[in-house]
Amino acid sequence: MPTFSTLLGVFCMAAAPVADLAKSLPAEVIGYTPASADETADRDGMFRLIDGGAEVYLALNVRGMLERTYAKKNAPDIIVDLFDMGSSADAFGAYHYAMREGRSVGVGVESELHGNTLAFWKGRLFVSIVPLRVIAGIGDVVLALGQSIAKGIKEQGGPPALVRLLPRQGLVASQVHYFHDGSLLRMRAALASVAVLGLTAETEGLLARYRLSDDTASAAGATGAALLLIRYPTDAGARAAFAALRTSPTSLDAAHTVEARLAGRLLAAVLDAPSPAAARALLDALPQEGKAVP
Amino acid sequence: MKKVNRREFLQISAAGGAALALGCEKPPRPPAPLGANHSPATAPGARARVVLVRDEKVMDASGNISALVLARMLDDGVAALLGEADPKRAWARLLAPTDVLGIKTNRWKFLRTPIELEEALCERALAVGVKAGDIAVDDHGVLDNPVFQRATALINARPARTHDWAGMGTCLKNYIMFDPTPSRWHDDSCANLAGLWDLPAVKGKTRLCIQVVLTPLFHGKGPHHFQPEYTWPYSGLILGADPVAVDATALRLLEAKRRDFFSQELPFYVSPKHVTLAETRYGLGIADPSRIDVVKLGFREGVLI
Repeated sequence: MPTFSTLLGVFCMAAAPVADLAKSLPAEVIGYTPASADETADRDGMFRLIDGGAEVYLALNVRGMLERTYAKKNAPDIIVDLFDMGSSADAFGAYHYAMREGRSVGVGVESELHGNTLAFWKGRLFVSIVPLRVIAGIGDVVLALGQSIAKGIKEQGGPPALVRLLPRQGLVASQVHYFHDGSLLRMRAALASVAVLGLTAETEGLLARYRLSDDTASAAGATGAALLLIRYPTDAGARAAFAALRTSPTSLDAAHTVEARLAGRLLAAVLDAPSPAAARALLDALPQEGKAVP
Repeated sequence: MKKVNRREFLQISAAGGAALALGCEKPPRPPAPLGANHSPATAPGARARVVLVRDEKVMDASGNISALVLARMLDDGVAALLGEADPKRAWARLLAPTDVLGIKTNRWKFLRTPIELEEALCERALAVGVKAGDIAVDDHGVLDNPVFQRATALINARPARTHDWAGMGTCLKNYIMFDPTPSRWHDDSCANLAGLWDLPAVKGKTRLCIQVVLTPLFHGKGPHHFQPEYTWPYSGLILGADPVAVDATALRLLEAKRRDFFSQELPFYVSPKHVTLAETRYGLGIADPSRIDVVKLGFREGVLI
């Protein structure tokens, strides 16, 4: 079982110019070649290339992105986006912002082929490959592109250390969301307010969905809950959030009793549970370090 | 007199170029344009009117758009919206020859407002008598566009789609480029987008809103939130003067398609609550479907709403 002292590190990679991302991209795959000059953007310029989704990557410390369009005669263009997330933890976060219920295809560290669209992460990069239209065989081209790009990314990286604290039983693997400040958490959980948590760019958190076992699910049929793990930069920050939750237990989630525990810099809380007992059962499944304060 | 084709006209007008004498026949000055003061009554009992017009011939099997059919759909829709038998009379009630018209389009590379629709809108404005140099089509450049800077009238035309941060790409949201810092509207899944409509560049100017539902996007994920598998040929336009009612109707369509496609009630990953809040918080228009009259024109197969 990991201890907190082993969980403090993240895999940070050296910064590189955004244009260097092109080194990971192939010159040709199954007759598809670059249609035009690559487009690049730093943090400030991402709204030019992405409508809406840029907020996700900005909240996860993205450093920049590169977009390349691949084209082939009489075939739909394919848009490839590479995001330099700065660390593999944030690359994991960029990938897991979406629900990943699609088919894993073994590209990069984790991947999903959803229809004919591929997403994966490896090293500090999050990669998205989208065809503009569907024609026969386009999924094979997308997959081949992804495999080639992943091969060109030399770093491997790993998920955030917090992931190793998640109890495995009942975990809905497609819904493990990583965040720093409150903006992404609010997009993935129906919360009254996240202010009580005191989240900042320096906090690191996971929101993970669980299916509860029959004996902890409610009689009304509610079978799910969400586990929130937040690591604060200081013990004081975690204590303040824990105290605020105890003082005002409905401030985070007005509809449910939030059960929470504190262990050093780590705060664990259960949302959406059908009963306090179900929430406590999920907290009890945490590694020993997560149960320090009853 | 210089003749220009439609594409040249669009290029010139988008750049805010000089007036071109096209020799359009000018109709008589119309009565006060619809929506000159764009605050549809949201008092109890008030209702909104929206037109859904569809034509199965608007696209071929490859998705190529027939400009002729699309223009006819636009005319039929505007005529039905205003209760006029003759589309020319309807357009003449919508726009005045003295207007300076900004057509706020949406040029998202995955699913844009069709060029054919932009062109048709320009042609109808010209036919009303609006000077060519007083018409511009723009998206990201509206704040720097000299025509938009002095616009007296706006037309808002955008494709209907789900959206990664706002839940849905709406006519409400299409005005975000009128703010020099668009991202300041992103908080709380863009809950307060209706506030955009109070910006000086926008307030009281919108004459017509169009949700383009030729190939709407009803689901997606990833940075661009676009997957071609989640579009379908619906072959329609939704038109109205009330942006909230137009968006609420398009939203109802996307919800119905999701229900149909996924065989279950699948909520949007991000709630498009800004549509409802446009009524309840801002009083901008009507979001409640029970208070929206949807006039349906064209084929009914697969209409969903």
